[in-house]
Amino acid sequence: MQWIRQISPWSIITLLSGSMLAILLPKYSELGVKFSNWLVEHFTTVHIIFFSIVIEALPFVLIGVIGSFLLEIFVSPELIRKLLPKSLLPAVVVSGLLGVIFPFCECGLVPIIRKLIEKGVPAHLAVVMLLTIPIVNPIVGLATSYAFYSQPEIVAFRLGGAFVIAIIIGLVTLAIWGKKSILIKGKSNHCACGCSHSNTGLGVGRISGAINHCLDEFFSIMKYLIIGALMAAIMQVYIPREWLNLLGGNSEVSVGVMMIAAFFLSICSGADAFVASTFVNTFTAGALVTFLVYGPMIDLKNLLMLRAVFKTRFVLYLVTIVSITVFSYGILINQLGVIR
Amino acid sequence: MSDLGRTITLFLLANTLYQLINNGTISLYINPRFIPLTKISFVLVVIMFVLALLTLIRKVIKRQIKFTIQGIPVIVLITALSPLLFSPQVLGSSMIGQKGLFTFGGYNRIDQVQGETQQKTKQNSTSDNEKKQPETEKKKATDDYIKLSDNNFIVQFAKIQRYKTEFIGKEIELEGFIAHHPLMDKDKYMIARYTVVCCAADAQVLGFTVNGRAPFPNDTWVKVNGKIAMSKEDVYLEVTNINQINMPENPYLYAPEGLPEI
Repeated sequence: MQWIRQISPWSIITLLSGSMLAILLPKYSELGVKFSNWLVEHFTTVHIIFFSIVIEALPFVLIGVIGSFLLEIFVSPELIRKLLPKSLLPAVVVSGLLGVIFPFCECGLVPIIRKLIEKGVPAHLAVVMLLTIPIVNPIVGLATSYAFYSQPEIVAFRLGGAFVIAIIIGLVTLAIWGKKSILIKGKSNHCACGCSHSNTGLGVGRISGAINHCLDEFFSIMKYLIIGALMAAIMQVYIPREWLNLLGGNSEVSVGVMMIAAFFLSICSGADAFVASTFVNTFTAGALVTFLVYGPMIDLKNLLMLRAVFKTRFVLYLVTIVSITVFSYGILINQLGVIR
Repeated sequence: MSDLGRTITLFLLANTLYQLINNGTISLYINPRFIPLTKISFVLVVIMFVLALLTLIRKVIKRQIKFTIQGIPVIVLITALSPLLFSPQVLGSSMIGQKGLFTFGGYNRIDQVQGETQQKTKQNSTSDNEKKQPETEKKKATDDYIKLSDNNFIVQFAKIQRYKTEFIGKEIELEGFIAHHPLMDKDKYMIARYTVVCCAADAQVLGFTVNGRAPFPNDTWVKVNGKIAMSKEDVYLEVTNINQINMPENPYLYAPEGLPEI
């Protein structure tokens, strides 16, 4: 029994550990291989969905950015002000349709709206432009029709709905705010890309500034698009479809969920339709339209820009009225069942 | 933002688009009908790259540039490189439960995962369709042998789902991969295909249910001969011959332009 006493406790622990490893390692390595296979398979699936959304939205982002660049150079706020009729209703309607000829993206829009107000455009017309130009424009219409290829009615409900909602909000703004100032005094022109705009003159400096802004805007929009596409891809792959059906199948909840998603994702209006189209079979039609109308009007990125230019009370008013109106619109679409 | 970083990123993005278009893998991401749009993207990215390069050169000449890694658009850079770093895979059976089963505009919807209420609504609408259009049905299913190819798969599948009774007993030949839907009984499997309307994100599953144990593992591509049969629940496939084949060069079915007459 002498030899037993010579065995140290450490050698027993080592022997037992070794034996356990020898037994368990093949199992664990099998698990490890399975886990890595699972990871690779799911990652590549996420990547396919993610990159397909990005690549599908890319031409519309680029057309939007380059179009915005050209407008930056050739269109002045004075020109826009001159286009507006004097009487109330025609002026509101024309303001709501300005996006058709001036499809500015929402990033570059806030500084332009500020300039317009400074040059004497009434607040209610500025609000109508702010809410419609990023939606009621040909680039967004085209992108939405591509994304919702088998549901062309979504385009009409997106563009038409945004137009009507903006006019209602414009008239309410006239009734509530009248001729009160809505701008913060003494603030410079802020933009989502972090640059300042100077819309005067047509010199080399301005063109160079516009090129810089165009490039910055492209990367800024891409950043939000990539995050949105990644979130949509992860949701498709990992969130059980039954959960999405539960959230997306309810008339009211689905609209609320999509509004929150639109707010936080902050995707450019030229690209958001491609993210929304991934939820076609899980969310109600009203929720999808809400996502497409609410996001370009009010989102996190937009809110920061609005806060930099407009008074806090006005921003709160705008967020509240837009949220209530768009939410009601989404529910109305679901209740009436007007979209298949 | 780093001028050098964004110039390099735009160059790499243009390169990735060129590679995807050139080697044809773009069709694993989007419906080939939209490839012209990707070509437009390529041209516009090249224009953006030239603008970025000119800005960079101007700053280098004026000695206004600092070569730092700060401000490099990392997120766009990684996205631009990702298809070249990770070779694109095809959506497989693991996504069957997550992707919706075939829905096609105004055609009969068969999304089994939408819940009982919707099932009932769909069944009612199906029976309504069948009641309303008995004459049309007879005109639709005239061939006794149906061969599904990439060109006619979607339309023929929609016809079978819509005019179910007229197709019972007809022989059918098709290719697809083996899959098990999570909501299916374990002694059933599917011969499935993915259909893409715009891009892989909107891919949906077209599948024929087969009773019995699958002779091959999931994701195995097979050529199947069989007969269309009808159970209490839905149409299913009675397999008479099943052989393993290689995955086709283009595994997806692409939705045709507009809604064809069925």
